[in-house]
Amino acid sequence: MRRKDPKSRIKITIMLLHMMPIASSSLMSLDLTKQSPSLDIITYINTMSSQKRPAGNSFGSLLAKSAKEAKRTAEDRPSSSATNSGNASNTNNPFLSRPTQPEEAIKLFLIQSRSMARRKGGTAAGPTNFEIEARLGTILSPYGQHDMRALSSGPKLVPIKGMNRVVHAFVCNVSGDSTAAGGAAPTTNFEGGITRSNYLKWTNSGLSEVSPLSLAFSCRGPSPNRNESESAALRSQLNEVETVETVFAYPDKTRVAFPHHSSTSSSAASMNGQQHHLGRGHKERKEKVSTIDIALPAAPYDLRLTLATETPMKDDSVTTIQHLAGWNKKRIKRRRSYSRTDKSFAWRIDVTEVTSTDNIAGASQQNQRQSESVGYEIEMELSTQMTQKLIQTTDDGAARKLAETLSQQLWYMLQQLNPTHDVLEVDEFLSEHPSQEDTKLAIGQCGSLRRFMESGCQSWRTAIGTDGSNTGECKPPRNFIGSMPVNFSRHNIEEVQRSDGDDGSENTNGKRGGGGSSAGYYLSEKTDGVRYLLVFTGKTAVLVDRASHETKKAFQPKLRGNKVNSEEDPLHDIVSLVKPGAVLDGEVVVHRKLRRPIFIVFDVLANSAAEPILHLPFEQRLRHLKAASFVKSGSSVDLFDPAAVSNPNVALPLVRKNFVKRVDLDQLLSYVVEERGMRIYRYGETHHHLTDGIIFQPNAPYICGTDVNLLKWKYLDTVTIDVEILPQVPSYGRNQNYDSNVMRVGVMGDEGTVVDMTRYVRLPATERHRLEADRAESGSKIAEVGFDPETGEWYYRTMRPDKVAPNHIVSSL
Amino acid sequence: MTIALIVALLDSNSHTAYSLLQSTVLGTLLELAENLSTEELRYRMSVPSGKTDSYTKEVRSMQKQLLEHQRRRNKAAAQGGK
Repeated sequence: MRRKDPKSRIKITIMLLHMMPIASSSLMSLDLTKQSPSLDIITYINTMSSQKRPAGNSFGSLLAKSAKEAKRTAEDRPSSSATNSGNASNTNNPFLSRPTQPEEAIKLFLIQSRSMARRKGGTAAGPTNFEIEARLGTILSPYGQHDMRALSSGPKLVPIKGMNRVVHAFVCNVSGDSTAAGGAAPTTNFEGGITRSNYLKWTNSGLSEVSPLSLAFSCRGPSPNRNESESAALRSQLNEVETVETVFAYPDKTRVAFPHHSSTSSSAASMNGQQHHLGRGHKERKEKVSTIDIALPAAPYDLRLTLATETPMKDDSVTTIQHLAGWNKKRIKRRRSYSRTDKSFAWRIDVTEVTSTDNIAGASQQNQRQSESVGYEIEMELSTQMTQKLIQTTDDGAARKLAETLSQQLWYMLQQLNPTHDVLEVDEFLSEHPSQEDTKLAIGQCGSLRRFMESGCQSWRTAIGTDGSNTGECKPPRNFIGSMPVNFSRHNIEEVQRSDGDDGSENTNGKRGGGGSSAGYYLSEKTDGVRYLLVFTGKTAVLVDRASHETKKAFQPKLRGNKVNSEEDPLHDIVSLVKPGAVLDGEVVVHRKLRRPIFIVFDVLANSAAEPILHLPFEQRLRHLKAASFVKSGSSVDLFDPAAVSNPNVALPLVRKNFVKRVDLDQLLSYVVEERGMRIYRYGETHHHLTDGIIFQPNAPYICGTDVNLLKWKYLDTVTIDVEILPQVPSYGRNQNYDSNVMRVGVMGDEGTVVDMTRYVRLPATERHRLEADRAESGSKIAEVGFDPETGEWYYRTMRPDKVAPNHIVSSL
Repeated sequence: MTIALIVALLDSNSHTAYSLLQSTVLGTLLELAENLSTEELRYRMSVPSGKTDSYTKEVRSMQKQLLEHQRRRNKAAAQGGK
């Protein structure tokens, strides 16, 4: 596979496990710039965690510490109640005790690798090659009943220097050379590899279209001036090399590799439409010199950095495959390697499909084949030239500078392929509304609106008086009054197409939204936030959620900027402008660029205590929204001023949702972009938030509850079901094919029965590890899982501690 | 109830039956089975009012072209190997 350079080189492998974006500024207080060039990773970790520095300054001493930690038992595992994501109390998870800034950790690893390579004679030309690699995979916890990821999903709030800070990376394991290790067991294991779904999603496009792979190399798009295609643009910027290699691994850390060569021989193996035959085998010894495992809980995968040596060995007996014996594992590696043509990136990306076979003594050929497994890997390797440059640079200052550049480059690439979610959830920006009276009024106003609709719009009894007083009509609704869409199906396509035409027949069967020039659907992106009704009581504004009618709780945004310590109402500035009794329907989302909450308003239910408008067709309600009819007369202030979004002192800016007619859907979706694995609706400076589909809004009166004419279409990779994780059952008494390690899941059947879905819903190992970590933390037994129809793989999305039951097999609950 | 819903689904494009299946396992599986992609939606929603939606016909045509392309590629590879 990789041609060895005769000169020394360092290969840094970074395994990308599950990762997400990061707020690099959040750890800026951790000033590492004053460290001396000889500072090693142990010192770094101690700086990060404020822990007592172990004796000595080698990786071995750190390993000794790791061994001590490994003695902890499962009982030391953080309790589910104390480890909620984003909660400072989760610091009792031992793996949260080493927060780090990823770029700094990578930089220090490079500096450390340089020192070790130089000590091992890497400055002189010789047979040993140094490699520095990064790999994606999963760091497994030594705790727990099941194999699970060391840290649960999501960024963490941990105390650093007396303040809670958002952290996205944690050093889990550092190992030096075997002599220094002293046989100490690491606290965690690293399992390399990613799912087939992610492998294809991130890398399968190759050079044909823009993908995370090309974004990792910061490739520019096609030039419109040159009438260039996307593929041509990528091919001009990236090299792609395909290789196939069969590697036999031996217990003594040696291996024999046979490159596959293209051939016209009819007897050769056929791969990808090409004929291949095995070339001459070469033997080498590969040994890890040092590794560092960095947990990236806010990303899909964790990261392993490795410094390794590869030493060619002369052994003529292994030149042909027929003479091989004693090997314990065979791997066929089908690899595509990518690098920048202009060499502006020092790292190469290897994407590899690995077919592994264990050599089981005495096993038949059929059994050997049954032990075959296929894995998918993403690695990044530092180029030979840059590795040599790093090792051979004699000036420590220059080496540090180079290491810093290389670490920044690598982290940038990782952010495209294995992005970290660096933005907090919506609920982190909200707090419970302190006024019970206003909460009661707001929920009561929702009840009034529902009763108004139930009365056929004949009886309007507002809960909130026009002066903001309690009218005595304050009765909560039976359930959430917000309209809820149903799934868009194929049969809806023609219905929507016809709805804006001249064919008025749609109305004959009682369906709304059909026929007539004023009919039709309004389309918008489906905002992926948290649904709230914003109710203005006169004194304040209250965010009513789906459960407020039961919990009697409602919310308000937290104060921000220079008002964070003030006593004033967070929405004070807009409350005085809006008529009491007004009710807006919308979603609170996080503006991904500004990292702040905004309220996307998509409907108006009441302009004031005296003017409910939910009985009007949507077109008219939209007109009220555009005109901001709920603002008090005489006010010249723009409630939807775009400048409020960029004003850090505004707690919750209001932003109108964009609607288009159905023929403009293509244009609407052109504002949906993929950023670091997430779909973002980006429109001007105001809209920059997650989106997960399309809403088809009928031009009809508002429906409280499920509206069978309000349609939602979701991207197929966001369509999920909630399953219940069932207790394991003993394997005895069952057929021999039953695997007791398989996670049993079920959904709800009629009359509370459980429908066992274990046979159909099987998660890949890495997904299961994430689920188990989140499950241990949340204590929930309901998991949201999805199915990728392209690969046939299931994936894990999140635990649902807010739910007590899984989805029903067939009826909507 | 389950049988009644499935019968309703098979029997017609029952709007009610489909809507009842929302947020259910069967509803989700149907959604996946329908495999309605972004591209298809963007295409079909952009069909001007009163014009014929030829999406299915054009996709079939392009699939045939794709198959022909693959045949030609394999043939060329086989000829090159002789």
